[in-house]
Amino acid sequence: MPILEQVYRRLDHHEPASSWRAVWAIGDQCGAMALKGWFPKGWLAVSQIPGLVVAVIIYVMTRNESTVLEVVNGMARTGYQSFNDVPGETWYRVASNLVYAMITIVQGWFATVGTAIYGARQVADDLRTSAFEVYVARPIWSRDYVIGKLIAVVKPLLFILIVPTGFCLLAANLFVPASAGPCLKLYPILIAAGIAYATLNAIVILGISSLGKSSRYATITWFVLYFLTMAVSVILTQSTGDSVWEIVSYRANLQVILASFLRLNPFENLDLEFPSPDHSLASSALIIGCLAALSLFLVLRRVRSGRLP
Amino acid sequence: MSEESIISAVGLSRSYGRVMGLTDLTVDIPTGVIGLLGPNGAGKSTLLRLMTGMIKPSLGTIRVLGQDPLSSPDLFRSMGFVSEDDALYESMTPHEMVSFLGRASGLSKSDAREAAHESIQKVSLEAVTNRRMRGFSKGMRQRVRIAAALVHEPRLLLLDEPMTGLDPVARRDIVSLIERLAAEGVSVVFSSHILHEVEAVANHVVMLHRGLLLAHGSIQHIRDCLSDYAFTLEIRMDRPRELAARLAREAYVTSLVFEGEDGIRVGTSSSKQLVTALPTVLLEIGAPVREIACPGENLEALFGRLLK
Repeated sequence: MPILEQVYRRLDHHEPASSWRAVWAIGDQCGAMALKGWFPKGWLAVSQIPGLVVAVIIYVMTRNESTVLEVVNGMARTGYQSFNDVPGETWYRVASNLVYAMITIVQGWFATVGTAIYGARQVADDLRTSAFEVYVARPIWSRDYVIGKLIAVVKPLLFILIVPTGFCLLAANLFVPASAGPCLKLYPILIAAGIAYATLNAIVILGISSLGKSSRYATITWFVLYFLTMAVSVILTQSTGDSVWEIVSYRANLQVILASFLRLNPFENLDLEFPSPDHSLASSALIIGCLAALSLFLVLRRVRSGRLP
Repeated sequence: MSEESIISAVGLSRSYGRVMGLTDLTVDIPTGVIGLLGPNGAGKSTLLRLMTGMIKPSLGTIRVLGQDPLSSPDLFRSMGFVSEDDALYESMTPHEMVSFLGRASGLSKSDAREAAHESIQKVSLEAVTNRRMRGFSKGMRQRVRIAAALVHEPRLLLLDEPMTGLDPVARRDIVSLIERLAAEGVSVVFSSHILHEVEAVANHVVMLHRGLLLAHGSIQHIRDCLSDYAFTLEIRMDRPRELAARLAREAYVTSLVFEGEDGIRVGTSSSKQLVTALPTVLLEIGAPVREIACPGENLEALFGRLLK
């Protein structure tokens, strides 16, 4: 059917809004099913350990003011003598580095595996076991199904990304009270970054999950996408000496997007993986956006051919 | 579409590549219990899938409860559907599954829980309501699926081959469930390729064969269409020659073939006349009858007669 005809048809029929009850029901139930078994639950529990460990390290470090100042001065290339000398902006930058490192490097790995655990089976298993038929001939649109499935994947990923990171940030703010005020705005930013990270991963894994009828196939494809693009990026960067090739990596592009969310201005001497300045937010957003759009197209096409309107 | 019809099709056709699943179907289906009858490949599932908007017609239109199923998902608030596929989330309990699908159909969490409870009662599964469905028998799984289709209290329930693969007890349960639903005012459309199943419960029959509508109407109407036709009867009895002598005089008897010492095959041009006269003739002869059979009298033969 020509596109214009489709548009007119939709306008003519006053397509009703999605049923949010259906969306939440699918999100709740499929999320609960994704968490069934000791491994999915165990992964969720294990993913919280780094947060506790880092919080303990922060506590130990903050017992000695000079240790903290050494870190801050090392990062900011300054020579502050006490907490009171450190300006709010510097506290914000130090804390945002902590959040960035936690969410992308530490928790990011847990989220990568978690994406496969909680997402790979979502559409593939429904199609393999014919369970998809339970949604047919109900007042459910294909987008309700997809959003419900997204919620089911995003919820555990948010738990993995936000809770330990937020816990560490909270610990830092509690043990260094001077940093609390300037860092307040980091909390909503952390939540937004977590939602963006989890949603992008969830969209991509649902697209992959809809490609076949096996969750094993989806898991392997997800890891291939993640690690192959990373490996290619490293090889190209090393061989050409041009860090612009980091743009090939799914992970690096996600990091660029999150860095912009956190409004980071990384300290140059910080020994962390920061996105190269050679590729901009716009190019990363374009690549990730295209990948997300392709994934959405794939899953919607599969669900519609599976006979949801 | 008349006021009484729940489903109305006009010139409805559906092709699968070069194969016609359904050809030029025009029919008004009234409220009540409706049986879609036909052998495999007759177009029953195609018609049900068109009713649910799962597939688009190649030609023609279909309206269910006055709405186009393709563009009116709100129609599904008034309709329940149980597909032929054995679709269930096995790791859930019946109550979890039915309640979940109640919420997915637009009920609030508490309403869905209550509706699930009632729905499970309707299909008599209270005893296993909190047991995981892995390991459920086919009959139990079928009842869970029906409960899930009933949870939002639809006006119309569509069942695709609901009795296939069930044992006689489970079949009887499904039949009595359909009867109870009909008594509550729910219209039920179900497909089957077994004549007596449809006859037992349906008050209106739509007969399909190779995608074509052969007949539709009440059971009585179909019976009238089929009451007089040529067929052959095999009788095992003592003294078959006496029966042959009596029947040879009748104009409607077209052939008499003896089979051994105690068998006779009677051919007739009018089944109605033969079936009416035969008991009287047999009583008059007074010979014990061991078996009366109609070889080749299956659904295919029935459809063959309707095609003529």
